[in-house]
Amino acid sequence: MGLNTLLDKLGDMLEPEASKKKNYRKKLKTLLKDLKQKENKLKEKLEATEDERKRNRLEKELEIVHTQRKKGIKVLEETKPDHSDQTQDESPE
Amino acid sequence: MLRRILLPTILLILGFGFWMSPDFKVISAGVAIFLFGMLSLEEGFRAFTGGTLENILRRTTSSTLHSLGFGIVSTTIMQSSSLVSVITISFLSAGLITLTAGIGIIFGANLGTTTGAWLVAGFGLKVNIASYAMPMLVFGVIMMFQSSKQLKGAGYILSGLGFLFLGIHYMKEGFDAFSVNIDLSQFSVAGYPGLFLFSLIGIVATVVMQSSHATLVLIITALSVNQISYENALALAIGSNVGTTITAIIGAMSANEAGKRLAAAHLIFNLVTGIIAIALIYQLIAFIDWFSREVGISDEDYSLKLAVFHTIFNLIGVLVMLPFIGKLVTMLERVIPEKVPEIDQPMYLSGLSADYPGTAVEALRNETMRIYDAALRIIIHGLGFRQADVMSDADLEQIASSQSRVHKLDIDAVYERRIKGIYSAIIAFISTTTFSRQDEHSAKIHWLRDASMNIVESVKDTKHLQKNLIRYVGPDNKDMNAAYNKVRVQIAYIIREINDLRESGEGVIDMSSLDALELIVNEDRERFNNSLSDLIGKGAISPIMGSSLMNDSGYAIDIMSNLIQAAETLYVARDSDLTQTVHDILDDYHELDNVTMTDPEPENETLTTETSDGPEHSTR
Repeated sequence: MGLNTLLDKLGDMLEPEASKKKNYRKKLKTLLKDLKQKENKLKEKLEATEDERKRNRLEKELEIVHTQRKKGIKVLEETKPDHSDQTQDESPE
Repeated sequence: MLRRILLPTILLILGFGFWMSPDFKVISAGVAIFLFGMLSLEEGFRAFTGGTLENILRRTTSSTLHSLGFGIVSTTIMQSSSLVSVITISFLSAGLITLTAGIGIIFGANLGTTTGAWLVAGFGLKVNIASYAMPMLVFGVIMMFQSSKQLKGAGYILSGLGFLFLGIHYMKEGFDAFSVNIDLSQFSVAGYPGLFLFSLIGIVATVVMQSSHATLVLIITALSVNQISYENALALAIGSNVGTTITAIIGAMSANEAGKRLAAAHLIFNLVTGIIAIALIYQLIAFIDWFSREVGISDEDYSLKLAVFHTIFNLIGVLVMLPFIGKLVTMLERVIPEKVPEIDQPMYLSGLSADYPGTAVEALRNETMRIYDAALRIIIHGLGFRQADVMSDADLEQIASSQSRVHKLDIDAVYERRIKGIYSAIIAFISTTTFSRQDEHSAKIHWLRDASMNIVESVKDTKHLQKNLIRYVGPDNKDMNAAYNKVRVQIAYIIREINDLRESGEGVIDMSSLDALELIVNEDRERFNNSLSDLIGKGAISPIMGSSLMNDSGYAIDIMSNLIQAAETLYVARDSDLTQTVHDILDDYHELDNVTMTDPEPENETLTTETSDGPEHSTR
């Protein structure tokens, strides 16, 4: 175990709320990545589909997934820590 | 295939027969009227079920001896054992009496009918109740038009009896052409061969004349002019006793298994009695001679001796058969089994214990999937489509518009066969589990119960919708036809989408896909309601038709929503589903206590209300 990891763990123990938030943001980022992938897949499917009804369903689903992702991004923004050293990793769009 | 050609073949043969022989036509009409009378009689008795009639019958048939007495008395009054046996069959068919009681009545009727021989022989009296047929029909039909349930029931009974007599009358009329040619002297043979031959003639004559009394008159006449010997006359009486069961056998044609069993019991009783009588004929003759001398009947008075014989051999039959009623009932129940409709039974729940929640959830899920598939089939057929068309890329709009009508599907019957057995097992199984919503398995069981209820609801809604589909789909009203086609095509497309989704996801559907379908359903509803207002506004359809359409579009929405909700429980993998994770993670967001921020505002109000804040989703 490296020194940085050990220091992180110590910080988590000393500040449990901040650690909770950090984990939450981590999970959220993974989810946003998955949602992005899903959105791309749906877009591909939509392009390959000619049937009007199926297209309608895919468009709706795309809208839903997009809205969910937007919502997630907003939450991610709002849970951003005030410290400026932790701002480098947000690039969800 | 065979079934499909059977009915047209029978109709053709009958048609040919009518063309060839007017007598055949009269006989067939007689049988038809007789059977119609049976149906009417059953309908009438049914009106009295649930009280009076059961009480009377329960008291009069509470034991075998009571049933026997009831048979004797009623046949003596009505002077027709055929009629009593036919009425008993209809009692049995309506479930008013047991088979044992029915057999007791039939035995009694066989004794009661011998009083006829005494009347004919002693007073030359022939009671002809058939002459009451016409007044019975008239009174019966008038009473059938009354609103009171009792009067209506009595009307059905009266007209049923009227039709029975009328049917027997026509059968007799038709057979008259044959009976005039019966010359008994030409068959005179001595010894046992003669006995068997005359028994057979007795059977045929009674079948032809539809009355053992008529045969009895024929026997007495033939005996008085020495056309036949005394022994042969007795054999004829035995034969007529067997032949008289034909009426009950015809009557049982329209009855259920219970009725058929009774007709079979009647035939068995009369056959056994006949065989005993033939076997002991010489002993019986000696006994009758002794008995007649004792009661003062002269040796030459064959008519009265015949009546004595008739009574005695039936009495012997009753005494011999009475101890075997129980065995007879068991045998008949085995030989003529009740037809139990083929009902789908649970495959995964049988023998399963609710103590293993993981297995229980999986088994319940599998059973619920079975009723889901069954429901999809019922709904598709109820909408007038073929499964192959809905589950393929076929153009359903085109198929719908090319159909001139929707064929009725007996949804209740299919539901009973394909869903009810499994659904009941699901509910029964769930009721044995004790669960709390906190427990993961228990919650799943709870959702599965809801899903199976959704499925059953969708089938019931299809039943309601089908009524007007049958009424309005067709060329009569262009606008209603188009509107109803739109409704059924929309449901079929949703079913197709759900099916495509579960096939492409190998049994797993993304919740977002189902949410999208739900949105489509809601949008279509809006559009449909707007077009409906336009149609009524333009006067293309009447407000009454409009209200029907409005109600039916409500059923359609319910069908689709129920199917989507059930699919959500059955096919969404909640542990790995993205939408589910979004809901979970947003729930967690509210729990972060040191975060001070406002709730993220949705960009599209309708969409998020439908997709993320709905009670269905957020609770799961």
